[in-house]
Amino acid sequence: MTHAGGSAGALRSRPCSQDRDAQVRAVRARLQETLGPYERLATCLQAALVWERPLHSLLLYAAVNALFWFFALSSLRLFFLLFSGLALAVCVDTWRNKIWPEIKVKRLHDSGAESWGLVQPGTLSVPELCQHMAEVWVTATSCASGLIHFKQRSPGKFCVLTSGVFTLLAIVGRYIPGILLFYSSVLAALLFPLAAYHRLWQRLEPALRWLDFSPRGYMMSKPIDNQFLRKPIAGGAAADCSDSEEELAAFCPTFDEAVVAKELDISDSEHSDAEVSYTENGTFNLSRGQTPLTEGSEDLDRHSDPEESFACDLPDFPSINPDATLMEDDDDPSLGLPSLGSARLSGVRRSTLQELESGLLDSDPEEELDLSLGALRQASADLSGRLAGDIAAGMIHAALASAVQPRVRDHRARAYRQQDSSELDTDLDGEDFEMLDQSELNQMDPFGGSAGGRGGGSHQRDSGFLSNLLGKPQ
Amino acid sequence: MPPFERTQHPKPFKQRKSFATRQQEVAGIRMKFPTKIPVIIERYQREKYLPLLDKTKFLVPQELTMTQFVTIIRNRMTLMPSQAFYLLLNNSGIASMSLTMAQVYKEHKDDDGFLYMTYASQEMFGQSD
Repeated sequence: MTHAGGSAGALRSRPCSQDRDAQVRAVRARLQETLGPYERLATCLQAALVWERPLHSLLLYAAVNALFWFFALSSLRLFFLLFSGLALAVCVDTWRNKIWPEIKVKRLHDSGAESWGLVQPGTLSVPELCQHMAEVWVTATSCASGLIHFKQRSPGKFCVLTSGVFTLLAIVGRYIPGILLFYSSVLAALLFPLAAYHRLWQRLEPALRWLDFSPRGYMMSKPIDNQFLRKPIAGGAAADCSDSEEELAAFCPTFDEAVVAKELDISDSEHSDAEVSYTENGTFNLSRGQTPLTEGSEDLDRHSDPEESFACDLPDFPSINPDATLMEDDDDPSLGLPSLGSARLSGVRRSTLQELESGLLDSDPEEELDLSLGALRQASADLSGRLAGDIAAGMIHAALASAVQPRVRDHRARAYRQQDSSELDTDLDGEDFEMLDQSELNQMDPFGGSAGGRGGGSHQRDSGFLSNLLGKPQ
Repeated sequence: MPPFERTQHPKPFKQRKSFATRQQEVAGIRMKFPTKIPVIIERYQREKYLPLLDKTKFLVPQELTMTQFVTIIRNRMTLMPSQAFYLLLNNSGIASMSLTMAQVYKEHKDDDGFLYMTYASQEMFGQSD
């Protein structure tokens, strides 16, 4: 009984229909009524099964073994055993239903006590046991009724299936003696609560995870090196709160160009995954959109060739159609530098992976868990950063595009021409950001003529922000 | 808020038994199980969501913390993780969850020797007496 309760632990969380719930509750109430007085016995039995009291456990094991071998080896006839057992059962039933209530009434007068509930950590109380048993019972009955239904509907299939199963069991029984099978099942029933109590499968799980060499298992280790990638940023955010650009820029990950170049040709063989390249872009958006890097950002702004520098600035570049711009907002950054992003990533990943693989052999499962948890937090932080970057970019698009589209295009085209001649410096970026200046926007308002007054600029920005937030094109 | 009486619940333990009986009971059970603490757990009178416990009297190991105790009681009622459950000491609100039962018993035990607790799904001060 105890084992059944233990095995049903997983069943509780299953979403079940109301009908089934009601059934479970009814069965449970009935069981609880029957088993209620035996709480102490149940607790003792569980304590013995999980070896909390070794003496009791030894006694229990001895008793079970004695009983088993008595049945296995006794020279008594089958019919004798059967009918003496039945006679005993009838006697017990009479005792319980006729004689016991009278004694119980007397006792109730004596002490007037309701029975005590025992609180024992690590063991299941009677209501829990009843719940589990009721769930198992209801599941079993529904299974049986399902089988009967299946048999009535398609007897042919049912016959084939059951005869297959029975043949399999017959083959097993042909080669292994029944007594051995039975004894091993008894032992399993005795030992299963112990395994469940000590959560053996949870201890085995890390060992099993090491065997997972599939691509999926490989991908699962990704957040760890992601965390390595993000460590500098997180440390910076936690360490100081001054928002100076140089300090923030110093915390952005820097990449050795030689490593990047070396990894570029390897990156084709690596599998690219969208998730990490997103976060890579997220960082980039963060550094682009929120903190306009000016002086202290040579590391990031020094690009190896003009095409890359163009691709970098592409997210800030308004397209001709403002609606299309807003809708393609998500695509823009990934259009920027897919190859560079994955190359950088693969570079860092490769190095950290090697460290990890060497370190994993003697690492604790807890440590591993910590690492992946940290990576998760990092990833969510990145996500929010990317979101903020996207929103900022959307604001820029909306404000610029609706205010003075032709002028901006003109201006941008000029900017692009300068970029194209590979004389990229950060002043240009600064100029781009000047476009956002309040006074200039206000000055340009008469051209657009859509919103008058001084508050027009901020209003437009707000609406752009809102519409971007709501996912609607302006 | 004026208290309104509802009579569908069983009467509180204190009203069901006289002081002398309770005291006797505690003495008997303490003699039998000196390491266990007698606790009375009752549902808050106006509780609507939580089910009744199958027992009111509990024997609790001394070294158990309040957190463990609450978990065990929750399991006993087979509550879903989403259901709120507060265990209130009858004379002083919520106990610190890190205290052991022995500490709680020492500070908050009733004159008759029982430790009285009330459970509710809301964090109110369930003064039942």
